[in-house]
Amino acid sequence: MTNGQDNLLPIANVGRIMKDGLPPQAKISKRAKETIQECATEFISFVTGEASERCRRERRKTVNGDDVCHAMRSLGLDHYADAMHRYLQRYREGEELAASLNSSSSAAAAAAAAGSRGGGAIQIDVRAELSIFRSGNNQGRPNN
Amino acid sequence: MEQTLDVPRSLRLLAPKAQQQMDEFWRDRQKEIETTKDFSEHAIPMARLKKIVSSQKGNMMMTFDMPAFLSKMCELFVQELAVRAWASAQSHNRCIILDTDIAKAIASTESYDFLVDILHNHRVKHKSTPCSTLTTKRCRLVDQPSTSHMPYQHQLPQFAPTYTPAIPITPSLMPPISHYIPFQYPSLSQEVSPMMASAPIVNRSMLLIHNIARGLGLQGNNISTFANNNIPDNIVGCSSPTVLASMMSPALLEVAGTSLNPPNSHSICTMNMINSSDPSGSSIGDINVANQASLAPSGRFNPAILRESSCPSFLHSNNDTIVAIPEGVDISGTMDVASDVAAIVINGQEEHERETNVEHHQQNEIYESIDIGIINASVADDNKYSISWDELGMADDSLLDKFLEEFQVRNDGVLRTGIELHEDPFLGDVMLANPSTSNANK
Repeated sequence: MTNGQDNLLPIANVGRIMKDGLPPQAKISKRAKETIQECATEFISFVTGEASERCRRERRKTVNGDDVCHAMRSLGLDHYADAMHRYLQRYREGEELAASLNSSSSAAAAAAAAGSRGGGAIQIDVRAELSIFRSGNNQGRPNN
Repeated sequence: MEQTLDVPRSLRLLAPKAQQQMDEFWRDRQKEIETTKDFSEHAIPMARLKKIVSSQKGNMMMTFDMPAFLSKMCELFVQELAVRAWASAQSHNRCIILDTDIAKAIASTESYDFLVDILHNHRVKHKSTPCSTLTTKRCRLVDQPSTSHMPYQHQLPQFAPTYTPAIPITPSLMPPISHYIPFQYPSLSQEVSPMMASAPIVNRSMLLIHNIARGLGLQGNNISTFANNNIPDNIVGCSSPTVLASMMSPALLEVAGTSLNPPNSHSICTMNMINSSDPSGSSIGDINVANQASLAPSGRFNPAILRESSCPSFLHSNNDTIVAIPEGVDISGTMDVASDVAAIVINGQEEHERETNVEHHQQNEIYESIDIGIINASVADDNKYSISWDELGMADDSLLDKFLEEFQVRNDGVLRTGIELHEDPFLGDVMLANPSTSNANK
């Protein structure tokens, strides 16, 4: 059971998500929640599995959101594909906006670095700084 | 097996409602994604999502945006299943979503076939554990009141209009027999009545003529009375014979009273007979009156002739009354004629006594013939028909003569009255000679 629970999504979160999508007078039995829990877990595994195989065939090591949308469309989940594609666009727009704010500071840093070093060295450093900054953002989000 | 059975039911039940709800669901989700501004909030923790993905053998790397992406995807999946399951619960009139509803929702969607195995495994696990049995019992207790309100039981009662067939009542026609019978009966009575009325009219008219002759011969004052009597008799010809007898009786009484001056025993007898109301009695009275009338003018041979004539007249009259009324009437008519002839002859000439005796014998012969006829009639039925015919013939001959006399009298009432006053005996001889000849012919 402990292994199963670790591998499954939290049932409380699943229950809350169900209630948000239903009328107030609706009630959900415990077995129904458990069934949804298992189905949702299986759904994520199944879809990400399809996406990872696609990446493997294309010899890429990182699974992308586009890959998952493409996988869902191939599986016949068109509504999900359309909705998630739009979600991904909105998400990236948000991220780009945040990135643009951060990029101004990074540009300043890059300029400072360029002043101290040569042209070739300067370009390499700028790329490294950007990648490090993004990883910093990723780490910061779970904290929020 | 169970799944295959469930599939058609779910498709039938969920198809119309689920489609609308799903379309509405996805539109709402699109709007929600458009309006989302804060992507930092996640329905499911990222650590758990990473753990699930990394549990696979691939050990794949994810981009920085994958956890949020997967979280949203999982949210959409859970909500869609919840909405489909709710539709299934509603179809069964339940407010609680059960695992069976989720199974139906998954079965109704083709794209979720990969979850069928998970459901099967899930059921097996729950059946084996005792905790699951307790939960199933609770669910069953909850199901009992809800199952009583099945949607299939909403069949509306059909009110079939039933009309009782109206039976047309045909009125039974009245049988025409009831109307036919009374129609025939009066016709029969009408046929009989003229036959009964015709004979007495003729007889009464003969008697009236004799009375008129005697009245004229004896007294002139009675002429007007007889004339008045004649008119109503003719008018009332269709009346019954009894009525005629009653009408005639007072006239006869007057004649008898006026004609007979001296009171006699014979007159007393005749008065007694006249008092009787029977038609036969009246006829006998007429005969006696005629005989007495003849007594007044001639006095010599009257008592002898009267006795001879009176004895057979009474006897024959008695016989006639015993036999039949119409025969009696006819016989009385013939007797009157014979007696009148004898009286006139005596009045006219005394020298012809032999002739009177001969006529008297003739009268006797007539009586004998009448007696023979009566005997034959009484003996055999066939003879009755022939005798009746003969009698009718006699009546016809006498009727013709009498009708002729009546017409002459009526046409020249005033002149006849004057002539008869002057030539009474001559006219009497001439008029009475004809019937005597007719009698001889007979």
